[in-house]
Amino acid sequence: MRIRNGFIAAGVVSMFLVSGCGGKGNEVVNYETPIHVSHSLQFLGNKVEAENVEVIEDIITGFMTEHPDVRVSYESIKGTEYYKALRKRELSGNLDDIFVINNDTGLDFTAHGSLLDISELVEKVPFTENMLSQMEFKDGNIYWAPLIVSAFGLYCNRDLLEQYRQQVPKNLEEWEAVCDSFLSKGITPIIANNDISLKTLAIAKGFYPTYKEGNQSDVFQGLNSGEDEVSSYLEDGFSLVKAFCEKGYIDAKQALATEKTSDDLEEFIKAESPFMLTGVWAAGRMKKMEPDFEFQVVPYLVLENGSVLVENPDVCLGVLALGGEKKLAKEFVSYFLKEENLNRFADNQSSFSPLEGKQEPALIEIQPIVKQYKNQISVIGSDSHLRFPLWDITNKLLSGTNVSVLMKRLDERVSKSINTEEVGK
Amino acid sequence: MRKKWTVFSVFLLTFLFGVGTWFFADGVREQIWSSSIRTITENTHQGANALNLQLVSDFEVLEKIWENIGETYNSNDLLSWYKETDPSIMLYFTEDLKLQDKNNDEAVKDFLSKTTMEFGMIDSHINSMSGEKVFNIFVRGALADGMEAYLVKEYHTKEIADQFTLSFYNNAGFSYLVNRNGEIMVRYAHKNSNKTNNTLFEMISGQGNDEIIIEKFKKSIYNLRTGWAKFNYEDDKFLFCYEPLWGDSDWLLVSIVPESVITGQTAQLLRWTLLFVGLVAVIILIIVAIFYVNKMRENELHTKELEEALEIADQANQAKGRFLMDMSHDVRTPLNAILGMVEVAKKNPDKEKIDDCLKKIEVSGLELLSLVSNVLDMSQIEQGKLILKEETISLSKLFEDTVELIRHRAQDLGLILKYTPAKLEHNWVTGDPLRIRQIMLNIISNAVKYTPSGGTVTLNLTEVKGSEEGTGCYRFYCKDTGIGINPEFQKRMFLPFERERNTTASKISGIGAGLTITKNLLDLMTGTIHVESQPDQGALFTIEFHFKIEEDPRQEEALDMDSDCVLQSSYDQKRVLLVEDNEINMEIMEELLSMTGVQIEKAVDGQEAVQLVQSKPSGYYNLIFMDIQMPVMDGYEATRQIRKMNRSDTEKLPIFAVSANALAEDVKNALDSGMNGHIPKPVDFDSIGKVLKQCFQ
Repeated sequence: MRIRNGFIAAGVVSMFLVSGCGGKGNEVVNYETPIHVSHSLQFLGNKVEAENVEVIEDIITGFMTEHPDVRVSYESIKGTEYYKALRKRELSGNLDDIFVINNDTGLDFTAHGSLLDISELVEKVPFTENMLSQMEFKDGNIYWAPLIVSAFGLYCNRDLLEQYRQQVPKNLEEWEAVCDSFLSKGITPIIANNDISLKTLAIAKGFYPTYKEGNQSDVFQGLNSGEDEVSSYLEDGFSLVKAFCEKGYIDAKQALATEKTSDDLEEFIKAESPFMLTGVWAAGRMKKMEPDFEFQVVPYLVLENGSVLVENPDVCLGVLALGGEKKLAKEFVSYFLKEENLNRFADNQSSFSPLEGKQEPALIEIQPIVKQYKNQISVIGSDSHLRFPLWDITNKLLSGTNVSVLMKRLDERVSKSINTEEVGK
Repeated sequence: MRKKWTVFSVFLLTFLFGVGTWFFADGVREQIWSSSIRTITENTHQGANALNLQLVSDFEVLEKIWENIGETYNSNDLLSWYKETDPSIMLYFTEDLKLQDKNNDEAVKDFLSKTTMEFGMIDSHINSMSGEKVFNIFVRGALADGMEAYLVKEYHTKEIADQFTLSFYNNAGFSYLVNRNGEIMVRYAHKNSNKTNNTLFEMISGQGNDEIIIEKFKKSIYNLRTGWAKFNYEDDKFLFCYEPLWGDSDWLLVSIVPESVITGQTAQLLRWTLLFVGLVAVIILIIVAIFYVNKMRENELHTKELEEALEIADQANQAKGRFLMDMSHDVRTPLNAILGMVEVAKKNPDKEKIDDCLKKIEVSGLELLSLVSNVLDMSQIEQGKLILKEETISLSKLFEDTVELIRHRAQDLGLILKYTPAKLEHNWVTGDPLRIRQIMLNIISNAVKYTPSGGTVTLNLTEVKGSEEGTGCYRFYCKDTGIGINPEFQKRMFLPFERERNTTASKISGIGAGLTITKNLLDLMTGTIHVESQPDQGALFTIEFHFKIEEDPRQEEALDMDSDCVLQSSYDQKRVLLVEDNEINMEIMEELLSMTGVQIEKAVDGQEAVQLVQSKPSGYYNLIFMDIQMPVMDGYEATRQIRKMNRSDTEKLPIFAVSANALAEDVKNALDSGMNGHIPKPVDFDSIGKVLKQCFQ
């Protein structure tokens, strides 16, 4: 018994001793050679807010995981400064490997030969016919690919409307009546930004009849050739915008200083104005800001009997044609264009997928937009079939320029671009 | 109570162990956390230092340029010169805008037109010419023609990212260059780093972080503090270590590391430690459990043993009670006879009557002696101290003598005693005659005792074929026609003090020791005993002995049987010292010895005996009979002192113990003390005679 107990005690003591013993002398340890990053891609985009870059972060991370020797840096510039910087980089020869373009810059860059043909990438992606028609250049190649179909809408503060015994309007007349009602109480009813709000409103009004007729290709052909004047189509729209400004529905000075999907959201969440004109993709961010009110996003109420949905192929990726990492850049774009990535990005942006048969965004606040997207005719805000830049004229309107003067200048500009063969297609 | 205390102790120890383990784990966690933060902070500091060094170096370059060319060149010269040296260095004039390079950055121009600083940094911005994200350092100077200008060096944030960003913990954590508003100026693009958020605070907003703490963090960054913060980010906690860059810049280097990477080490260490501690604890618990279970078992065994011992003690007590009862009766009976006969003898002057009384006194005394001897034998047997002698004996003679001892008693009881003289092939054997006789006598006595008058007791001794060479096998049969033995009692009849019925009930005396003594003696002799009996049908006892066969030693036998000469008066020249403290015993010894003619001197204790021997001349005494238990000095000590007297006579002087202690141990003690022999009390003539013969003849 005692001997057994002695053995047990010895065992326990040994355990403690052994655990405290040991120690290493001199030694050399070499680790496995780490994977050296030998390639670097620069990706320039205009998505800046944290909510908007979530999926971009994941996609970049995923690509880098699959390509351990590649580093992808993302740089973002917000708002109107983005395209200015983009153009400057292009001019100075400092364009990034992958960048976001719009129709206007797409036309110019293609003409300059700065965009790489990515037709082979697009072939494998089930884009909608509508998108494909927008993407194809005159030479039959494709130089950019949209990641989403963004929509533009009228945000309505339902609680504020109810408070003032108003309802969500259904057409232009009702909208104007509600605006008048708020105006009479000293409230500026509509919040607008200096970028997308007003031009999309004008385009919706101006080009809806064309799209409704379904003869946009004929109309655009006439415009592209100079046979027709663009002002004839857009004057009504810009007049409406001007009228809104003059009536006081929109504070033009404030709108000029309001950056899209950031300053405008900050204003709207104060619940002092019942309406906001901005991208539908900001609805998700709006909801995350946890406003004290319920809101709904509806298409532009520019018709006597209804509304018009304005959509755009958006967040279009282009690849630098003269870059040193063209092959890798194409691989990255190809990775981004994977169905699951596109769907995730579209959902994150509260936008529509550019792919066939994909489900619409689920956010309940934008269901009126979704309904109209599915069932009715929409106007493309920046139609690539128009061979001249149209996108950057609104600020001049907000600065006080007369509509007719503006239209005249627009026609002159279009004419100039046609004559100087700046037209891409 | 004790069990409750034990359970409480176990729970208390377990609780303390748990608390101790928690504190240990917490301490380890804290230590590793502090150590990791120190490491990350140090690395951040090193990173900031590296960038600082580069910027300081570039500042010094710009200052050097001013030193070298400031007073020598005028504005025109400088314009053409500097472009060739470093295309990232540009000249911005403070006043004359016409001289401004048309490629100058508008944001820089705007900043410089408003600043009063001699040197500094211009925050990250989009270069109005190139569209690239850049930041600048500037140093103001004056030219030879008095024009003041700024030398401005431009850095592309993309290039800085490659050179000065840090990673930690195998690319789990990264550093970011931010301005005091939290805007990320430069970052390292890695799959594990944040690549898209514009500001530091965007990373932690909406992640379940405390807004107050976020505000505190913003303030710390704005105030260009050094420190660390912890926030939730992407389902994990991240550590943000921040350190401002060199003096006049409003940039900081912020290292962002997932807490799980840091605590992973802790977790692993703790896991192993706790595993080990748990293992040790389990082992200790097992050991404690084993000890406890053993203890419990021991306690149970002990309790059981105690209960058994209690039962045995109880039984023994009961047996003792019965024994004392029987003993009392059986002792009092002969005592009554002795004392009664003494009274009768006193009152009766008739010699014949007196002789008859003396005879009956002798018979009762022998009966009493037999009773005491049996008790002593039982005691020796129980203590394992009974030793068998080895003498050459005639079995047939022994048998006949034994029969003779009981014959008269049997006849007096009206029994027919039948026996056939033993005819043995090997008559002479080695054995203890006293014990063999005792065995046979016990069996025969029982047969006589338990056979009613008119019954028969048949005795027989035969030799059967032995199994070993040189060893004889003998069977002793005793058959009676008595009351028989109950089969139940047969199972325990050899146990001490067991009787089927006590003396009072059976009216037959006895303490139940005879069969026990018989059985134990047979066990010592490697013999066996077997009984066949049924109630009222008598009993047959069969005893088997095994003795070593010996040759016939007739010559010696004659000498052994000759004990009568002892009592002759042939020792009148011999002097014997009697040492005895009891007067009656002294008187008996004196009377016995006086018949031999020896001269007798007396001492009442050991000390007096020693003094007498010492005071007398050498050879004065020829023999000492020494009692053992005496006051002042006992017999052993007295003997030792006599032997130590350093006289030739005392060395060899025969000293014999005379003592009621008659066990083998007592004999040994006597011999060890220096005595020559031991005579048990009550002393008989034969014993005295043998001693005198041994000493004087």
